[in-house]
Order: sequence, then C-alpha cells, then structure tokens
Amino acid sequence: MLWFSLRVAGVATAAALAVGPWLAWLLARKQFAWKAALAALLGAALFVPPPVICYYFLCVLERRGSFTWQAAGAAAALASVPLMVWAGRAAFTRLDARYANAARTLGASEWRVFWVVELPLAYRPMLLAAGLAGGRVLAETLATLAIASRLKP
Amino acid sequence: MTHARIGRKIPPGFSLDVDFAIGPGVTAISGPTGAGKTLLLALLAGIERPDSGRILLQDAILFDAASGVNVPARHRDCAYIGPAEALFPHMTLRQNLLFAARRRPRLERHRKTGEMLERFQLTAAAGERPREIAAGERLRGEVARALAAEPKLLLADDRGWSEPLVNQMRAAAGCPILLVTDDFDLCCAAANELAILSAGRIAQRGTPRQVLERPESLDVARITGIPNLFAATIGALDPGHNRSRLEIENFSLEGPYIRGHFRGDRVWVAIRPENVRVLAGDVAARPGLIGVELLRAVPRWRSVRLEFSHGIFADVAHEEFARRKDNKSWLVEFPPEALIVL
Repeated sequence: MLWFSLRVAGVATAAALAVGPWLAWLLARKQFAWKAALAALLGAALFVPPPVICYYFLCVLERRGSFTWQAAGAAAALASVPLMVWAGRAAFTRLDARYANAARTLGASEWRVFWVVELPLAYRPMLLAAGLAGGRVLAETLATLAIASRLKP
Repeated sequence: MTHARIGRKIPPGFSLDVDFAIGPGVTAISGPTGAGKTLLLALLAGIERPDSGRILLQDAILFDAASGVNVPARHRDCAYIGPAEALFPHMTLRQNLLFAARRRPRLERHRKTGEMLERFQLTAAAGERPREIAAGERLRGEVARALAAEPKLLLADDRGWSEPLVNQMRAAAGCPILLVTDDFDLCCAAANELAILSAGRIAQRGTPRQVLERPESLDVARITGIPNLFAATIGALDPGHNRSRLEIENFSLEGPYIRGHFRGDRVWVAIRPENVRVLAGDVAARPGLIGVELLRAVPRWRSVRLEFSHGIFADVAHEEFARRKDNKSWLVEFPPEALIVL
C-alpha cells in the first residue's frame, strides 16, 4: 500500500515538475486566448478538497476496473499540477521582467530565456511546491486506500 | 539610415510622439521624469510595441505599423541597458558576457568576451557573481555585456553615466549610441547631439551647446535649468538701434530687437543666472538697473546663488559675495545680449 502510494505520488510530482513551470511561465508572462479561463480552471482545481478527489478516484477508477498506479497517478496529477502552477506563477510574477528583457535584446530565444534566465532565477519556490504537491498526493492516496480497504474487506 | 517615427499612447493622458534620425556617435536624450525617455528606449529595443510609426535601423525595417512588421527584440541587434541593473544574478560576469556573444563561433566568442572584459577593466572581477562586485563594476559589466553582442545600436538608459565611461563606451562601440542623461556637462563633453524630450515630444534638438545656449521654448529653458523666466510684454521695438523694451510685472528691461514680433506681443524672457549682473547699492541710478531685495543666498560648489525678489536669481563668485554680504540694498542688471526671448 505504501509502495503503491509512493509510486502514485512520484508520478504526480513528476507530472507537476514537467508541466508546472511551463504553464506557470505562460500564465505569468504571456498573453494568449483563454488565459483567464485556464487560470480559473487551475484555481478551481486547487480548491477542490481532498475528500472529493478521493471519492472520484474510487468512483471513476474502480468502476472501470483500471485501478492501477499509473491511472491513479494521472488522476493525482490533477491535484499536483495546479499547486505547482500557482507557486510557479507567483515566483515568475515576482521576478522582475528586466532579466528576460535584457536576454531578449541580447538575442536569446524565448526557449533560452525560459531555461537559462528565468527558470534558474525562480526555481526555488517551485521546488518547495513540488514537495508540497508530492506530500499532498501521498497523503490522499494513502487515505483513499485505507478507506477502500475498510469498505471492501 | 537609422530613423524612428514612433507613436504610442498610454492611457490616461500620456502619449509619445517622436520622429527623429539617429546619427553616428552619441545622441543624448534629456528630459524631466515622465517625459517618456525610458519608454522610447523600450520601444526601440522591441520590449514595448508602438501603436504607430516606423523604425528603421541601417535601412532595415524593425517596425512598421502600416504593414504590421514587428521584428522581435532578439533579432533587432539593439543592445539595451535598462533603467535598473540587469546582469543575470546567477551567472558570473564572464558567463554574462558569453551569453551575449553566444551567436559567434566558440573561439571568437571567448576572444570577444576577453577583449570586452579588458577594455572595461573587469578582468579581475570576471569570475565573480554580480552581487559580489561593486556597483560601478556592475555598470561597466552591463555595458561590456551589451557591446559583446556587437549591436547595431546601443540604447542606454540613465544610470548615472560618467564621462570616462561614456568615452570608453564610444571607443568600444562600433555603432551609434542613444544615451539618456540629465548631465548637461556630460552632453557637451561626450555627445554629438542633444534632444530634449518633454511630455512625449522632442522639444528641441541640436548640438548640445546650441540647445543649452539657445533654448527655443519655455519648456526647454526650464528643463535646461534656467530659473529666471519672466512673462513680458513688448513695450517698444527699435530695429534701427537693435533695441526693444520689455515690460515685466514689476520692472522693465532693455533688450535686443526681437524679430517677428509686434509691440504689445506677449513673450517669455529668460536669462541664465550667471549672466545677471549684481551691483552694490551705492551706484548712480541709470536705466536698466532694478532695485531688488535679497531673499536668500544658497552656497554652491563654484558660486553662490542669490535669490532676489521678483523671482530673479543670480550666481556670483564666493569671494564677491563675501565682500558684499552686508549690503543693505541690491541692484541687478540684465545685459541685453544675454537675454533669451522665447
């Protein structure tokens, strides 16, 4: 049970680390269509309480008969990615745009601006958020499994 | 040809509207805060987007509102030194410079970086992070980084430029420099041209001495630091003797003949405080002398600024002021040839 939860938490954290910084950067720095909608969706996902996520884990995954750790991890990513994105967005927003602008005038592409300038200057709060997200997923998965094992002996 | 015609509105109320060619050498831009100097540089660098106009850099179009061309900042070849420090804090000085020279082949990149570090006396600090070195070195580092990219135009916002640094910049840059500064001594010493920006418009441009000696509008006179500004009515005009009479609220002045004006016209009269002649009280009365009261005397580095009644300011040498300190009554005279009529 613990190993299963750890794997779920690992997948969810990895997903958050892979997608989170990018989404956070886009939200903090760029203008695009449906930006407000995306931000609202991520915000709403952040405020869904853990019991609700637990419940849907069980309902959706058990009915399909596919309660594997990969599937659970994908579901848990729904909880971890928003946490990461919000922390990252705050970190990027607080970082003055002058470094990115200087890099651009020196001929750096947006890709390079992100990887070489902005991410190294703002990664700390995001690491913390990744830790938090991992912990949250771990706790939720353990709780879910504990409840599930009680309900069906 | 390097030419910029830029319009940009910032609600509420501010609009930038300039049209000027950038010549070789240093072009200085001065103006009060809020005149749009920083915005102008950001628009040229491609950080901000103009609403209208067209920017040409060596005949290449960087921006053209009519055809929707807007070359991104990274392809503009305009190095930009912004209003705040922007050396990357997580890199050493050398890494900062290498970042700028990245598009060159490896050897060439290291050679250019080394050359720039040496030119700006930064070789010793090359391995340090920005926060570990002195502020002056950081500024030089930023200039070195900007020039390591071998730009076609260097945009430098006001960072307290010193004359030696600007001269170094000139020598190291193979391109025109647009320099924001409020230091008119620096403009005269190191700039080929001076443009006064006021409320988003270029109020006057020319060689620095032209602009400073012959301001063409009240705004420019104020910005270039002339405290003696008087609203006057032309009382008499005498082209034959190259004379005019100017009636000001509390006194009247003899001035030179004023072209293009009639009797009764309202004009502004300006005179630099160092040109105002200050006389002791016991001089025989003659036309042109104005009796004034001394309100305050503010010591400065090279002179004392005397603040008289009627809003008259005069600069006199320290020794001269020390001699006349105990004067009871003061007289001032405005030499007609030093009067600037706006």
